[in-house]
Amino acid sequence: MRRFALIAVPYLWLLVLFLVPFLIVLKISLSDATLAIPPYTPTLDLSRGWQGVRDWAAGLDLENYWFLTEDALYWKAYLSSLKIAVLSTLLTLLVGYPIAYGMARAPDHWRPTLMMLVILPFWTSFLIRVYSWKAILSQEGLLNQFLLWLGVIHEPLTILNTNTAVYIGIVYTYLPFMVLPIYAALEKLDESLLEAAEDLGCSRLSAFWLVTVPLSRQGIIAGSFLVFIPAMGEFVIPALLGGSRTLMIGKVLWEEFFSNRDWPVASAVAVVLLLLLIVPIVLFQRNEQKNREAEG
Amino acid sequence: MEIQENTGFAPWGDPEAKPLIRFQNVTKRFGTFTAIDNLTLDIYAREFFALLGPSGCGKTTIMRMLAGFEDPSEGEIFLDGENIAGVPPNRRPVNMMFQSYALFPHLSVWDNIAFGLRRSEMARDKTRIAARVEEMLKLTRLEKFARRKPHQISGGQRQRVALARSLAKAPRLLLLDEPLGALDKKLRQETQFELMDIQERTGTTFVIVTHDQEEAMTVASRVAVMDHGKIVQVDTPATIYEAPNSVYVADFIGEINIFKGHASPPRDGFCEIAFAEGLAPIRARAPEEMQGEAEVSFAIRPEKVLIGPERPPELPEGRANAYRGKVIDIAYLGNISTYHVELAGGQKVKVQAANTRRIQRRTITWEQEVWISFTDTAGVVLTR
Repeated sequence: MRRFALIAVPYLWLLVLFLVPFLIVLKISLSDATLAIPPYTPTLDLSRGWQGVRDWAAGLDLENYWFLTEDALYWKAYLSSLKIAVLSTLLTLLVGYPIAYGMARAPDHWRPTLMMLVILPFWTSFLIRVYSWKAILSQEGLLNQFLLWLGVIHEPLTILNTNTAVYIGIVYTYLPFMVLPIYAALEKLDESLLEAAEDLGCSRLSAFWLVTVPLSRQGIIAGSFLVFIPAMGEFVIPALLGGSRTLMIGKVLWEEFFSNRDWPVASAVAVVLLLLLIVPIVLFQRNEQKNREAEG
Repeated sequence: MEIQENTGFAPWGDPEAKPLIRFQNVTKRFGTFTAIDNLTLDIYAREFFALLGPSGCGKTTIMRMLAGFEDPSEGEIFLDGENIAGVPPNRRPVNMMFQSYALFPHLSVWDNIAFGLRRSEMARDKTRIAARVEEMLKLTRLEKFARRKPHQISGGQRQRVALARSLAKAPRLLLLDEPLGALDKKLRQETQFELMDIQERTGTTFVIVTHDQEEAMTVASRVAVMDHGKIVQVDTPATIYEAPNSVYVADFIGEINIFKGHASPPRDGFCEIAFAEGLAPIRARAPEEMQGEAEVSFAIRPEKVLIGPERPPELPEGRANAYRGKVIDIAYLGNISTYHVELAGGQKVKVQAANTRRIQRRTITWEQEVWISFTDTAGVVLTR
């Protein structure tokens, strides 16, 4: 009984904070938009009893989902989000792997400090950190001034309000999520495995490819999912750093909801996004499971 | 003194023989710490050479210099007459079996063994690699486990995979770093004989690092006893045991009784060592280098001392040493017993005797007055 109570707490938490809101969103996505409060119809009127439920159920349909397929904006936004998420995940991996590698190879007494430096940005609000990139990337920003002073460029570069700025923002924001799992995998790596590889005829570089990379695979996979999943639905970074031509599903969702006040379509967009993300989330969970089995 | 063994294999005694490995005045420093201090050493082809010493004595550093993971600070190392300083580990005809085995956890047993072959000139020839891997699996009796991952097999099997992997490329020299350290005693003893057998069959030169003197004695053709970055003695196991050149070696290998005393000048090759007031001096063979009087240590193994309730009859030559003492402790080990006997002057002596009779019929017991005796050639006189 006590065990049941113990398990019940997290499940209750999930039920109240995830499943119930999801069902509400799902229900709204099946409704029709209207000028009222709330801005959708039909609403469930329980005072009319069973008849009320039947009328409400009859009013639900998949119309909003059909609408998503009719307007090219939506699938273009999904695709563009996917592209940005995939590319920025790869970029984060390229930047994050050497950082994690350097941390794992650093002398023992340096590691807590390096770890601290990776986690430190979390102490400041995410919004402020993204906003401050505006000051760095704008036409008169620090980066352009620095490059002009170096003489590398003669005209200031337009970076802010382009996709490039979005990539920079995502890589910057999610870097710790990539670095930490890779670091955890590399730190466990037994140095003598690399010596064994060299002893058996590998150069340093091929030992890295044949031993270090395969043995940090779990960390790479975990880090990539941790970056890809939130990047896919990202709203704040494209809204602050991206331009009018940056198309991301998070932004579309926000506009449907707050500008058009079309709650049902916005909800349909959200439900489709969730369904799309379930695939990588399940894959991620499987990877974690495999990880635990390999260690156990 | 060299103790003769009838193995017929003794290239170190042949002045014509060319060593496979030659260390010439090699010094290795890590910062201010000197790990290896002016080492000169020859190792010959087909030898099973053991580096023996306590942890931190520099034996692992010698091995890592041979593998190419460390370069000497001074001096030169020759392999087949060629200086190998600066040659990276992947270009040396030397393979190493690591103490932790260092098996690749993401590869199967088969792929672990094939790893080195795939980086050799054999790389393109898949059938030759397969044949060689199968040969190694057969040699180490691992055929059934080829498809398993290292974490799915036992410690003893992992040890054999590590051996097979390091032998696969048929190296000129195989280095074994505490190869049996992780195995339990029984398995370790079996594996020692397996190692010797494999060494003989493949004809590879083995250099083994160990802190276990029994292991070194069992497997090696020659043993180098090390202390603080220096080699104290290099000899066959029998010579190391029977004729140690110093108190350090005598004490490190097996059990020994040490009598500190003052030796008279040798006469007819024998000297007399006064070690306690009121007791007769020990008569023993004097070492060749001893000239006049000297402060010496007389060392004798417990099994070379006799024990009995009566004073033993004098040997025909009258050369036996005999002392009266009291049994203060008996350690019964099954096949043998160790008696701790205290002599009149307070000197304690360990005596080992085989238990040829059942324990109930043992004639010597606690607190009993006994006689211990040994001949004048049973021990060695050590001047350092």
